[in-house]
Amino acid sequence: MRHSFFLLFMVLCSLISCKKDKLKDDKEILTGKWNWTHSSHTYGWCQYDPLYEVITPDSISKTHSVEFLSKGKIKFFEDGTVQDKRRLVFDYFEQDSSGDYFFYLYLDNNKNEGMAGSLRNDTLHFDYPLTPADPECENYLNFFVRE
Amino acid sequence: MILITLITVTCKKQEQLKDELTGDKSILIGSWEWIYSDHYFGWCEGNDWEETLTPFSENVTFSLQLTEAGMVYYYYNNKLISEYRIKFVQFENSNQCLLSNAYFLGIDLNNNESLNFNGCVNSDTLRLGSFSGFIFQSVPGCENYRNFFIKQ
Repeated sequence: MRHSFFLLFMVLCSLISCKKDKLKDDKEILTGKWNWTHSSHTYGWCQYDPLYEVITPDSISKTHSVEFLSKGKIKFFEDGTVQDKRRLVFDYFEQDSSGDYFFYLYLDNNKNEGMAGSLRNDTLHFDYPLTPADPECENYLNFFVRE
Repeated sequence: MILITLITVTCKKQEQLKDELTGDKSILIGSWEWIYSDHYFGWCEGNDWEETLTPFSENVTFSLQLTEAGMVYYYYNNKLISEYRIKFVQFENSNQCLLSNAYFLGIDLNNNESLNFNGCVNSDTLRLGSFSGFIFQSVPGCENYRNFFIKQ
């Protein structure tokens, strides 16, 4: 009996730890490769001198892309090379009355690796490649277009 | 016992990451254009000065768009520069707002208690104190801003 519980426990653990959300129904719209075009960077809040700049692939001499796979995975590319591949687990994925989509997901279902995104007018905003070192003092908004 | 614990942990409802603007909160939905800011400053130099800053005096435009889904977008010179999730800490009728038929609102942007977006709103005016990501940031104790937006 104890053995059966242990086996059940292990199976449940393995199911939970390998969870991923396939990109079906509304989420299907994310499927494919998206290329980073630029990022809006607002900063200087903690110096009480807010500033704004635009960062582009040219300005940092790097390209970045993400590819959402229908099986529920994401690939991160830098200069055309895959840097990472992770499972996607969505906290929410919803559409508002204006037709825009909003989502929040966890990489590998790790609650410490949450990423927010939105899809508005064929432009994807996503917490990659640039993220603030200190969100209280600066912010990035990253823009992607479909390849 | 292990199984019950596992189910309890797995099925525990997660805290909402953002709040939808429904019911009375729907008063916030729409585009809000910055029209002026009252700037009170000089306190730390023993002064008590006041100035009014406008899009004309600063040569910038700034607007906010709040959506039913619970997002706020910042536009600087008509360019989208930031987006945040709205998480209410407070939203209630208030007669302390110096606006008629107003609600006091307290929002933690991105559910981060350090990213404040606090003020008052009625059907046509949104008044915010210094808030995260805006073009004016006040030195606490030395100055303050009251930022006024009107609904488009």
